[in-house]
Amino acid sequence: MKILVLGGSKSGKSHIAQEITDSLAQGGTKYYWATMEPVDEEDSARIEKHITDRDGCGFETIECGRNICSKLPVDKNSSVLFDSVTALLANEMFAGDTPDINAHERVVSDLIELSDNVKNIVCVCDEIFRDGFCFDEITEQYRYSLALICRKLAEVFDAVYEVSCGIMTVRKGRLLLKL
Amino acid sequence: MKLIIGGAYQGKLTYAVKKFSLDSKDIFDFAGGYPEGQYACYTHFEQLTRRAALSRQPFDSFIDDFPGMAFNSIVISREIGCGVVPMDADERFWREYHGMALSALARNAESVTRIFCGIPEVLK
Repeated sequence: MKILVLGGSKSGKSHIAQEITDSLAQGGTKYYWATMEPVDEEDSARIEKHITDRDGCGFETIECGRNICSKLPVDKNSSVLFDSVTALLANEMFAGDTPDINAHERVVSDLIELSDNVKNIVCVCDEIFRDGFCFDEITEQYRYSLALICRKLAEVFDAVYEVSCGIMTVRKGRLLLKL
Repeated sequence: MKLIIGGAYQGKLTYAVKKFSLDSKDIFDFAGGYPEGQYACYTHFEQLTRRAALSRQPFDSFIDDFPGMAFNSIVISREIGCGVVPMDADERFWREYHGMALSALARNAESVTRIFCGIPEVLK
């Protein structure tokens, strides 16, 4: 099962994605795929909060924020909670001196390859597309790239859920669990 | 009129082109100015409301003059009101103007569809 979970900041999407992964895994190996590369104390605190949230949930952590296919799980029967597509794109796009405007193509093919190598994947992504603010060219390119990734994943994945204030709406596929 | 809304880059125009078999000559992009004559489909409606708001065009006359209203057209627009309220007064004015304009269009529309991640959701 391949699922995309979208939502705004602090919408509860990671928590819901965790519960979905938990129910899909059915006792199999569960990986939490962490993508954030902390640059300051705020990031570190955010990571700590996520670790506390997962405490006792039986997830093994894979920390890899770019070139994700170098860390494909050996266990093809495992379930991966991938958090997040947003951070992966930022890492891939802004790794060099100049932004890589084709990074989204690599992100899509890498995520699809990862999803083909595990039993279940739940990808978490931020919804950043309904703001009227006029951004600079690079930020706009990033928003556009993220949207293209989400649209492609939505097309090929089995289900798409939107999370608002902890409430899940099915945009594609069916509801897998009652929350 | 059929109204298609959604966030930036969600595939609104792609959806409309496929759903209504549109040709590029059927589509007018408000980013490129104001149309002469009628089109089957108008896109980037938010660019039209931005210009109208920044020039402080009275709202009622804006709606009355809108070429997409009177005909059986397709109007595509971004939703722009979900972010933080802007500090800049012009930006705030546009945001509210656009929200009112979309509501006015939706009231007159035979259908309103929201595109999320390329997936359509019929709101009306």
